[in-house]
Amino acid sequence: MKILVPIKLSYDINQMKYDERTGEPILDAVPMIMGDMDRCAIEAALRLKESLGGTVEFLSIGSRDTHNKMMMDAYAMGCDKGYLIEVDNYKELNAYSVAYLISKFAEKYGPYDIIILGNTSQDTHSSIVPPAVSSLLSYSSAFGIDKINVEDGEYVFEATYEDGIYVFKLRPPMVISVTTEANTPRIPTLKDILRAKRMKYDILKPSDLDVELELARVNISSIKRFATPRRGEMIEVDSDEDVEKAVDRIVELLKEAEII
Amino acid sequence: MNIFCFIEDSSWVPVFEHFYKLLSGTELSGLTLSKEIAMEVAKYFDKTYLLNSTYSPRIIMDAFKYILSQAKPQIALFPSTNKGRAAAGIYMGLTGLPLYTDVYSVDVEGNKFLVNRLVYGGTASATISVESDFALAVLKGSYKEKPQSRFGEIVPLDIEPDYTVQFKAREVSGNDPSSADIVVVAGRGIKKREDMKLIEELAGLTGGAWSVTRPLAADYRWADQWIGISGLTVSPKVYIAFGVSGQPHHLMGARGAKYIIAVNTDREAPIFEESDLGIVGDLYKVLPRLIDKLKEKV
Repeated sequence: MKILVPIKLSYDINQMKYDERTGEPILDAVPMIMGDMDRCAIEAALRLKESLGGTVEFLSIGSRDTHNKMMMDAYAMGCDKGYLIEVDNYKELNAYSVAYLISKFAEKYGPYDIIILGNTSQDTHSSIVPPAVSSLLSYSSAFGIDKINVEDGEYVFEATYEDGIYVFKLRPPMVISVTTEANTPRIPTLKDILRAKRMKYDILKPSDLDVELELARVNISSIKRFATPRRGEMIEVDSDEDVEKAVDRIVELLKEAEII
Repeated sequence: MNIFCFIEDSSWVPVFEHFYKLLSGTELSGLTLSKEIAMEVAKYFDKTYLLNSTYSPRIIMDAFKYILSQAKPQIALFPSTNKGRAAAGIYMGLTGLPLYTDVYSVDVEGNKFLVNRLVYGGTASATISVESDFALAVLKGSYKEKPQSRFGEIVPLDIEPDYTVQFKAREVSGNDPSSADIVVVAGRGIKKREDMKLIEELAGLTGGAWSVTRPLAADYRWADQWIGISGLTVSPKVYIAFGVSGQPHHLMGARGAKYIIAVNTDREAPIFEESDLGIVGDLYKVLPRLIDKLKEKV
């Protein structure tokens, strides 16, 4: 069993910072991390390897300078082999270019039985790269998976969508994406982390994958803080009188909204 | 502009109509996966492709391959939902067209379209310049546009349904945060499952619905659905949160509310930055008193 986990270095959106005056994000001040769902994808791959045997490889697109720590994190979790496709200004690549590079990589370094991705990235949360990879490779697929079971060579995936629960039964080769419900990623021990530091990953260029087309980029004209104007009225509640005051204001607002 | 849509259900018709006008559409076609939905929506589309099958990525891919062999839509629109995004991604893989999700509006500037989408957990809006052809996964918003009547042809697709996928529809209970005027939301400040009774009681008294944040549903299993980017997106008149800190992924599902009211002990909680009324205090004092007060009025 050969498994590939493509991972993305994302902005930690829980630590977003904006310029108070212009409303523009101060991205240099925002840490970049491996997304939670990417971690769950690695965990899912490792568990499949542990029960069925095989290897877990991982792939990212970016630059050595920014991605090194994340690559070490993936090794510390227990992955067998890592690859980094170096692309200048990788943050500007559009989702199609990313999916295209992953599919070209899988064709050249595979075939992979299973490609597992996080359902959404931490920062742009589009959920479109996994399905695009599946259609570029013409693999079976299922997305947003919460539960994984393997029964007699058949993989059973459960996903919860807006209208209910779907159960997909697939056989490799396949592309799947997992949510944070799928598992709890393991936390590497100090020994794992030290071992990972000695690991090397292969670095390649798009040209090594016979990618000739010009990678399309996102033409962003502006990014601004998005905020619906709110009244921002605050009430501090210490005493019983404060409780009354707060409750009265809530009731007034419910009336204004024609709820009561 | 020849516009193609993936029609998850009839509630998306006014949304697609809105974007059809913004994008100066001239012809509107769509794909549905059920006969009932096709019958319901067909009159608002020039052409409605019908593939009578339970949803699966395989079905979507087969349908798109066929449709793309027949016509080349200039723009494709998808719901920014779980299935809609998956379908959009499959479409992107097949066509190589640029695709943007979480789109809430589009401005036209000369021969370019400026697509406005949410990024960074909905805390920021990015404006992206695109030319034809492209695809968008759009947010539902609350468009009331009456759709125009069109040619209304239904085209059944000769594609084998997917018999391997099983679907269990969500139980329709009286509690529907997606359509309620007020949604009462519990966060981690609610200490015990029994205390959810207070949340449900307030929802009942105000004729609304209740919901929770992701940890309460996914980790504690107190509910089977939550509000946030991976769960429900709601746009009620009032969203009232008890013990909700306001992580970006949660708030992305709540920002459509006209009024946001939050009760939390932590005055630094991010939710207060986006509240119309913020109460810094113990929800266990405020919530029971609010319930009593509303009972007095009934």
